Amino acid sequence: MKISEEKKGDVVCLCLSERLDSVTAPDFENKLNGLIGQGLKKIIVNFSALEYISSAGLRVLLVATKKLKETNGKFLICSLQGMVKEVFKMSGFIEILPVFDTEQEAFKNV
Amino acid sequence: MCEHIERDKKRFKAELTNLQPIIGFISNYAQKVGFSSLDKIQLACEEVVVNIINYAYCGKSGEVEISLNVASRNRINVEIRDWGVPFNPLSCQKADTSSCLEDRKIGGLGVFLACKIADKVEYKRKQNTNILTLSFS
Repeated sequence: MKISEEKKGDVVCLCLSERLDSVTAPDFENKLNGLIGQGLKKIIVNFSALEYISSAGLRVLLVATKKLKETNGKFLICSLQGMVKEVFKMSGFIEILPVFDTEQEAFKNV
Repeated sequence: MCEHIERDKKRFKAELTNLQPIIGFISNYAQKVGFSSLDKIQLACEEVVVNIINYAYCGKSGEVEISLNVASRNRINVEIRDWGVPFNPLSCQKADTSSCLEDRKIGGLGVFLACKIADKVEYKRKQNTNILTLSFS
């Protein structure tokens, strides 16, 4: 899995590509923990280029969302598509995580 | 769809580093059979295999065996066998997909997704092995 990172003001925007599965989820978790540990409170994760997600990935997202919520931060998800969007729907995560159709919409809410 | 697809079977060490080879083995077979939603088959199988890797052998090494065959009527059967602790994933508490963020439990989600994706899921315990069969049409 590839993670590209862009800072836009006080918001960090991460773009994931390839696969977020049981093998790559720990890398993503470490990345997020690093950012949260630095005190970053606004994170947007863009899924437009991600091809695949499994429950390991969903778990990392759930934990990050809760962590940032506890510190009054924001963890937003955008641009779900394809199989990834289907998995979010199947699992119900599309309802309980803050999901936006586009990155622009996520930025309006961050 | 080709009618003469042979059965296939392979054993792997139940380690996370083998997850890609295991899923690749299953996915390549499904592709030969003519399935197009390979990512969903991969997901269902990953969820089952990862549970075995993480929990079946309680930290000790062990194996997972994948048996693949095509049944009549365009159905592919993926039989996943392990020699670990007795465990029927179907008896686990169903994942809680309707509760809010604060209450959401994390466990059980993998099995839930596998059961939702596969057309049929069967468990049996045979000669000290757990055998979970996922069927996809």
